[in-house]
Amino acid sequence: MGAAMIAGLPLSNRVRDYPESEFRHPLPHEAELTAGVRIEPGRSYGFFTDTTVCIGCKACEVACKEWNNLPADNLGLTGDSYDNTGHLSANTWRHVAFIEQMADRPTEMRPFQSNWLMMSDVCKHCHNPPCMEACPTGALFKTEFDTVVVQQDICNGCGYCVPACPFGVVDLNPLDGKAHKCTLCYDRLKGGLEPACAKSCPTDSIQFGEVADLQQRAAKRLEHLHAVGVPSAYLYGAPDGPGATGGLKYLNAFFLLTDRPEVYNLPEAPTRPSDRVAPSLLSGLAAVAGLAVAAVALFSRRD
Amino acid sequence: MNFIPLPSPSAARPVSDAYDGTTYYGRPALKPAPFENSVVGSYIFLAGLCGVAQVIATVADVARAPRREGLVRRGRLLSMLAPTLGSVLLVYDLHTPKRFYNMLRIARPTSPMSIGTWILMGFSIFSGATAAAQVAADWVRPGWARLLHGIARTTQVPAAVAGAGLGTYTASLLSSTSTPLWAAAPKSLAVQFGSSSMASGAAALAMAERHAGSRSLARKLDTLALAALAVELGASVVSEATYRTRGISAAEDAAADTRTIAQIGTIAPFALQMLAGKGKRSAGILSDLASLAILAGSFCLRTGVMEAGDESARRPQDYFRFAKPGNLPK
Amino acid sequence: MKRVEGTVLFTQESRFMLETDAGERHLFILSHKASAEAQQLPPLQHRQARVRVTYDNDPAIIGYAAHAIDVLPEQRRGQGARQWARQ
Repeated sequence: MGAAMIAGLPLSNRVRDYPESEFRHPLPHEAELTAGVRIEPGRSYGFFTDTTVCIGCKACEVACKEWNNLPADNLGLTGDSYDNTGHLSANTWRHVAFIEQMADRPTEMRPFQSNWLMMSDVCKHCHNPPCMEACPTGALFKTEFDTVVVQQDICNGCGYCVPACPFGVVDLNPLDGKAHKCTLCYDRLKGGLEPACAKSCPTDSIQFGEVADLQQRAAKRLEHLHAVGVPSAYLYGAPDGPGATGGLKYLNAFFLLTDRPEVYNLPEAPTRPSDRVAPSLLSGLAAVAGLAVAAVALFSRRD
Repeated sequence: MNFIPLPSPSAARPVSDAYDGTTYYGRPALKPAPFENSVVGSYIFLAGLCGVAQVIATVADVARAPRREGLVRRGRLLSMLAPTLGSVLLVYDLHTPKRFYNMLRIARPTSPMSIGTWILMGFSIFSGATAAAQVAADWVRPGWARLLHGIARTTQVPAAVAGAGLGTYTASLLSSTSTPLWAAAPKSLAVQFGSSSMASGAAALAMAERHAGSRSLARKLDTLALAALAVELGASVVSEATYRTRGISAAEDAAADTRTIAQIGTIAPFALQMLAGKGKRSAGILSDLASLAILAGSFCLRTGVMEAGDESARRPQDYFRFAKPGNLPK
Repeated sequence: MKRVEGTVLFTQESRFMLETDAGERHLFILSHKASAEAQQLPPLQHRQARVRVTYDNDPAIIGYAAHAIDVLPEQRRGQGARQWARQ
């Protein structure tokens, strides 16, 4: 794979082989052309969502719904800025958050991002996924692309993955009684295609690629932003950084943010729920064992 | 040229230690568990009651308590509620109940739901064998009965171990989530659930002993129930303190009524039993009342914790306050 | 319960898009009450099968809850659907 910089983007030299603008058939390894990455099983893929270039167009939401055949939900208006999607749900796997900071007078607005923050939220595909660790049926699994997917033919709708997720991503659809969330376009990855949201993103706010590669790209972007006067920029979900605390290690889908995580409805220091299994089980058993010993003493007393 | 002075971009430190109350339009940052609280709460209550009934029956048998036969029989029979009614409740709460058997595809030590499935399986097998041997022994000739009692005496041991697990794993099930109120105090919550299980099992069996005319065993079981309640009370103080220091106790107001019953069920039995010890004529009624209060309190403790947990998941400020670096496990 | 006949255009998990004989497209979600399972849907897509769907409205979404799917005997279909299938 020849990864060269073409028009400022790290695209494959293969783009030169396809001068047409319309194709009758899917192209082999299409992601090489659209995202500059060849999708191969056994490697680790994810998203880097750079919120500083998000324009809130919601193309990602639409592309996701289109490809995944997801129905419109959260019908109606929320009154929360331009965010009428509201939250990630069983039928909504990309959600663009609109943070409208109106405290400043128009003449005092910051030149950078003009008091508007936008972020396309998605399943984080955690390295140590709490939903998968909680799943008692094995329906949630790590794919050959290091992404986290619910197998619909196995899920029995116990719903335990829903409270397990530290980001409130996984949701149960009461209609079909199964848990749903972003699959990182598992079917597209298998066909060598870039996930629908990333492919549709007009500003490349959502970048798809190999996680290690994306982390490097993000670090470079961060350095650049700090250099040009955005000291508040930081990565959410980079190894052991905010968003990847408590044993989550890192998030395959991570973000570049410019304000505190809570502003984007994200927890600063999520934990790994499975860390609490042993302490709580052992304390509970100790209490019962202690009381059982007391019972032995009571019962063996002659009256 | 004169430029308008530019305000500096927002605070250089994006990640601060103190949470300033920011939320995203007050929208929840988590999703509450999609459990039917009355159904799962009933299961947790039954699992505790039955698991501990088996523990008490086994302990009474092993400790060779005087006149224990009735208690052992009733304990073994009571424990059968979990595999039967309890399992039905669990399957009922699945959103695709016809696939309940998928729970048996894997064993996952990181998932208390999976651990619990296997504990319930083990408990059902050993408790079922114990109860079956017990029932069969009442119907066959004495020679066979001795053999069956021997079998029951063997199978009751693993059954009691599984029973102890059944009475406590449910706390771990709640704690091993991201729901702030459940996750904040995993150890003390587990002690609360475990001792509440012990209290409910002892209370139910005490009531049965009293009505079977076995006063001395009933008194011992009442004492055991009160001891368990005392442990539960201590653990609940620890939990409450943890919720307060983490700033997430406000969610508990959502389950105020249930919590009140749970608290009455923890404290009233002490007074009732004290009165029962003094009054001679109404002693039985007062003790029964105490047992019933313990059972109601034990049930409400579980549903109350579930309701309050759901509310804490819906309150973004609670979760953000909870999910701060200062609260990470050391 | 209402019924509609049409062609299964494409499926994802428990969701499928049905093109009715009148040419309208509707999104259905296989309900947990249905005896059909999600993994039985892709073959219907590959065959561009004609089916009769028994369904209900769901006010929370723009889509319907499919409670039963009956496969109808093969018959000549529009050329458009055939082309879709070949691709």
